[in-house]
This record gives sequence, C-alpha cells and structure tokens, in this order.
Amino acid sequence: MKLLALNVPLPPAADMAAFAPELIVTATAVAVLLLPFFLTRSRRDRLTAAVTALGAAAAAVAAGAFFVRGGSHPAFSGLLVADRLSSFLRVLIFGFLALIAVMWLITASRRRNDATVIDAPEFFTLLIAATVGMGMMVSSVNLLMVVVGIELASLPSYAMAGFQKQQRLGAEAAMKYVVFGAVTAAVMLYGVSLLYGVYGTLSVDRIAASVASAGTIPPVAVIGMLGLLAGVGFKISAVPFHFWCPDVFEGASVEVATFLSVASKAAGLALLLRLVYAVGGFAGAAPHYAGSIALAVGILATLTATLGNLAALAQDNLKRMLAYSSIAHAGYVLMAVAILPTDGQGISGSPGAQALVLYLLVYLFMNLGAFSVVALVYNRTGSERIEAFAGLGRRAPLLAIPMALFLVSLVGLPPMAGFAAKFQLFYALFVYQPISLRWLVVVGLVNTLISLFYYMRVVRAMFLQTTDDGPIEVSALAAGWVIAMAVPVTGLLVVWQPLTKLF
Amino acid sequence: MNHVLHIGLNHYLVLAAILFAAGLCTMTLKRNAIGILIGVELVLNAANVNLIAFSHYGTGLIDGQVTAIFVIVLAAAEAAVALAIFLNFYNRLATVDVDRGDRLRG
Amino acid sequence: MTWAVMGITLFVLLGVAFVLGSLLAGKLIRPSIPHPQKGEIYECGEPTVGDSRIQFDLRFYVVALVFVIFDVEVALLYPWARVYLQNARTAFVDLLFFFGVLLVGFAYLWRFGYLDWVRSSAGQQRGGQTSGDEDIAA
Repeated sequence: MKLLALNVPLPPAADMAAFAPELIVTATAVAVLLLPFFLTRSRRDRLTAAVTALGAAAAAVAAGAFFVRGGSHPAFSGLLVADRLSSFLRVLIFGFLALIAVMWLITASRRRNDATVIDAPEFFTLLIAATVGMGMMVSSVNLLMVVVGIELASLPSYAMAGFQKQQRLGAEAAMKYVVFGAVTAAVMLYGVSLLYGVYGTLSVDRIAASVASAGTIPPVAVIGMLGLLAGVGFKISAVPFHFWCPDVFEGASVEVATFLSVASKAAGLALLLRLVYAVGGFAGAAPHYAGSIALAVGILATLTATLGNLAALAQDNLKRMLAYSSIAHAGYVLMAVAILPTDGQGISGSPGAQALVLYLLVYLFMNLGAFSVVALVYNRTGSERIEAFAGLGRRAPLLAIPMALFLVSLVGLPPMAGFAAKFQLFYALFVYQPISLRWLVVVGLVNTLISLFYYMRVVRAMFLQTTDDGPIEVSALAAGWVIAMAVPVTGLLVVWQPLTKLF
Repeated sequence: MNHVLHIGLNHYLVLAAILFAAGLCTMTLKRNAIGILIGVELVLNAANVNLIAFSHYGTGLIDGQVTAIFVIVLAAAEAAVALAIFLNFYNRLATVDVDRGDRLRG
Repeated sequence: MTWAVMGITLFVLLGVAFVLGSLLAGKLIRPSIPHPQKGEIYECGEPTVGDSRIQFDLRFYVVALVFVIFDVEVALLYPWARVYLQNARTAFVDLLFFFGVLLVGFAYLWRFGYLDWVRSSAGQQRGGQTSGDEDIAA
C-alpha cells in the first residue's frame, strides 16, 4: 500500500479556515438549490432569500473574524491570499449579498410576475455563485485565479441580467452583456498567456519580481498587461469597456442592477489595486516605471469619471442615470488605485487601499439605498423614469427624504458619508501622490461639481415639482429598510476617524 | 541533412497569433451573435496554444497546461450561457443580429 | 529548399494529379446519357423530404447545453487523475465534493423537468417554472 501513502499533504486546515467564507457561501448555494425539493411553491421564495441572507451573513462574520485576527495568509500553494484587504472586502461583498437578499424580500418579492420570484432558487443560486467569484477576485494573487474569479463572477451575472425572460429589454441587456464580456474575457486570456510566456509564471508576485529585476517591461508583456486590463476594466466598467453598463442596468431588474453596481465593481477595483500595487510597488518601494503605471491608471480614472458624469446628465431613466453614476464612482475609486506606495508599506494599510475601502463601504450603503427607493417607486408606479419621482416629497415623504440624503451623499456634500469618502480619497491623492499626478484632485473636484447637476435634478423633481398623482403607499417594512440604509449614510461621518484607523 | 522540419516554440506562437487575429477579426466584423461567439472561441484557443507551448518549451512546469484545462472548461461554460441567452433573444426578436438590439440606448 | 519540403511538394502534386487524372479518364471513357433523375439528390434511394436548411427544434438546444456542461467537466478530471496515486485519499474526497455539487445541479434539472423531452405539467407544478425556452417550442 505504499502508493496510498500520503506524499502530498492535505490542504492545510489553515488554508481552509482562511477561505471558510467562500466555503460557507458555496454550501449556501447548494442548500438553496436543494430547498425546492422539500418545499412547496408558496413557502419557497421567501425561505430561499432568508437562507441566502443567513448564509451570506455567516460568511461575512467568518471573513470579519479573519480580518480582526489580521495578518497575511497565502493559501493553496500561493493561488489565493487572505490578508486584511481581502478579508475586509469579503466582509463587504458577502455582507452586501445578505443585504441584497433582504432588499429582494422587501422589493422584488412583492412583484407578482417577476421571474426572480417565480424561479427564486435558480436566481439565488446564480447570485451566490457570482458572489463567490467576486470573493475569489479580491483574494487572488495568481493570474489563473484572476481569470477563474472573473469568469465565475461574470457567467452568473450574464444570466441574471436576462433573468426576466418575458421582457425584451432583459433579453437585449443580457445579450449585450454576454457578447461584451465574452470578448473581453477572451482578450484577457490571450494577454495572460503572453504574460505567462514572458515571465514563465502565473504568480503575480513573481511576475512583479521579474519586472523589478529587469527594470523594464518588454512590449509583449505590455500587450499582455493591456489584455488583462481589458478583462478587469470590463468588470469595473472603466471607460473603453463601459458600454455594457447602462444597457444592462436599464434592462435588468433593479435588484440585479444594485448587485452589479456595487459588488461587481468593488471586486474588480480591489483586484486592479492588487495587480497595480504588486507591479507598481514591488516590495513596497515604487520602482522608476511605477510613475508611468500610475499615470496610465490616472488617465483611465479621469476618462471614466468624466464620461460617466457627462453621460449621466442626459438621462431620464433613473436606473440608467445611476448606471452612469456608478461608472463615474468607479472612476473616483480608480484614482485611489493610482496611489502607489512611497515607503515600504504592505498593500493592506496603504493610503490607496484605505481610501478605496472607505469609498466602497460608503458607496455600498448609498447606492443600495438609492436603488431600493427606485425599486419601491417602480413597484407602485411601474416607471423608473424621473417623472415618476415628481412630487414624491409630498406623495411619499418616507421615501423622498432618505432618497434626497442618498443623492446628496452620492454627490459628496459635507454632512453625508459620501463627503468623508471623497475627502479621504482626495486627501490621500494630494498627500501621497507625486506632484505629477496631483491634477487628479482637480479632476475629481470638477467631476463632483458636474455630478451635482444630475443628482439635484432628481431632488428638484421630488420636492419642487407638483403632480396630481395621489400619495404612494409605503409599507412600514419598506420605509424601515430605506431609513435603515439612510442611517449609515448620514451617521458615518461621526465614526469617520475610527473607521480610517480600522483599516 | 535534417529531413524533418523542426517544429519549435515560434511555430506555435505564430499559429496562436494567426488564431488570435482571425478571432479578433471575426469578433469585430460579425454582426451575428453566434459568429461573435465563434470568434471568442478562436481567441480562447489561441490563448490555449500559447499556454501549452510556453509550458512545454519554457519552464517545464505544468501550470500552463493546467490553466489550459481551466480555459477549456470556462469556454464551454461561457458558450453554454451565451447560447442560452442568444436563444432567449431569438425567441423575443426572431434574430440574433446584435445590431437589432437597439432598444436600450442613450 | 530542404528535402522535406521537396518531398511534401512532390507528394501534394502527385496526389492532385492522381485525382484529376482519374476524373479526366472517367470523363473520356464513360458514355454520356443525361437524365433528370440522375440530377436528383441521392439519399439511400428515398426521395428527399423538405429543405435541409430547417430550424432544429429548440428542445435540442436545451438538452445539448446540459450535455456540454456535464461533458466538459470531465476535462477537470484529467489533472485529478494525474495526481491520484500520489495522494489517493485526499483526491478521492476532493472528487466526492466535486461530483456532489455537480449532482445537486443534475438532480435539480431532473426533478424539475428540464431533461424531459416534453416537459410534463406535473413537473411545472412541482417546479412552478414559467415559460422557459422549451415551452415555446412545445
């Protein structure tokens, strides 16, 4: 029985423990798929969402435990890493999954003919699978895992975008999404294959070490990196790869749009930060080519934020406007990615990562809140257009006032959490960025000014326009949910200082 | 005298580059969604040829080959999802011409 | 030009010449008696039914997609089989998990009628599915 002797050890228990959140969420997906075997239709939908929320919350707690314990744990022969950055983002992403499940219970489950209600187990299995992919994206330090993570996050998202099979817009959104995603994924894989050829490894750290020792990046590797950027840029809808975003948000159901606007972009941005940081800040000290990498990211950020804000000005559909707004916000966070280390610090506590994490945390709550209001208004009026919000301040003050808070926060005006996020970002840009990139602060401020116009248009419609439409009935649960989202958006400023210390 | 053509790394790289170029042209020029998907598969296969050739002639490690296997599985999963979505689109519009998807714009 | 290239060129030329030569010989030797029936499509002697460019039943696609998914998973078994003997116990448990998850998906498809050629109304009630692609075809 010599052959059966264990030569290769089991994956160490520590590796499994570090990725317990992913395991918990995967088990939840299996459980959700098994639920309909034992339950009748009538009780199934709500229970599916509840199980998803509980599983995701448990995973977030598990990731939080690892975050509190701290340290960096490379797992599975260096394919994945569990450090403070990845743990915090996994708390964020899995916690967000739990919140999405609750939001679905409050908004979507009221809709009679909604496909996500009728096929709830399938919808939630897709949702959970995509989230697992995003959890892998924020932890991957190997290009194979990057590819697998992005694809695992994308494939269920395509299906979710077209989940409303009866609707033409859903079908169209899903087709645009899948065509665009498949093309960028293919280009990304070709880029990865070129990088593998040049550096003989798929490990991001070893590639970074090779780049650092060579001092330059050969043209073939640059092409490979651009291919990789196409794949990641697609996930965060950075500008040349953003075309899918507004169409998918408009065609998909509100809950799916909410999920994609936060989780997908958060995972992609964290992944990009990790990649840029590895190559641009090898061993903690910025090498001389880091300046050009930071400049490239900075230009990408400028284009993304500016185009997102300008296009949002022209939108009448609120979901489409929020899609362009999410492109713009991805642009702001990309500015954080451009902050490279100046001294020998690890990625987890670096100013760029700090600004990114705080921004994403705030963005999660304000976007979730704004989309929830859009969903609730849609449930009552059947419209997602800005006209449906006319006079909302009188018709449903419990929705309109929190919505105004979310929008003010999305602009980034002082009393709101959005201000803390933006201030932290611009401060980090100004202090830690080399002089050559400080103009990004100006870009950010000008963009904030532009964004004021379209966000305030909604506020004006809600409070200054009048209509003859009667009041909108809001259930106590829905009002409570929206107000619960408004609390962190208004109150986060109080705990701003401790929050920055947290990470 | 060497009677056998020596096939080396460069031959595979050229093959992969040709596949990539063909795939890129297909993806950009085709208006038919299925055609675009075929282009995607060509590019994925180009990546696979690259990965396996680099793995064989380069480090001698098998990580490139393992990646290629993952790519095969990913490509199949992607094709399955994409075809299902195209089918759904076809049921709504009776076409798979991507230019006909023009209801969402702005 | 190397010997190998010369050899291949010669081989290709001879092959083409042989094919063209036999066709030319047949053309010269055989009698020419045209008949409309000779121009018809030969399909085991049966007259053809309909156009060959028909649209396939959509139900084929659903079954084919399911088949592709389960078929290609076998590719992931190759590296597993390669290292099996190095670490049989771990590999075995790994595979149980891998197949376990796949089986849950398969059981779902089976139970809720995605594998049925004509989806039964009982399956629809059990699963409560709405108009999937296969319903439109049915």
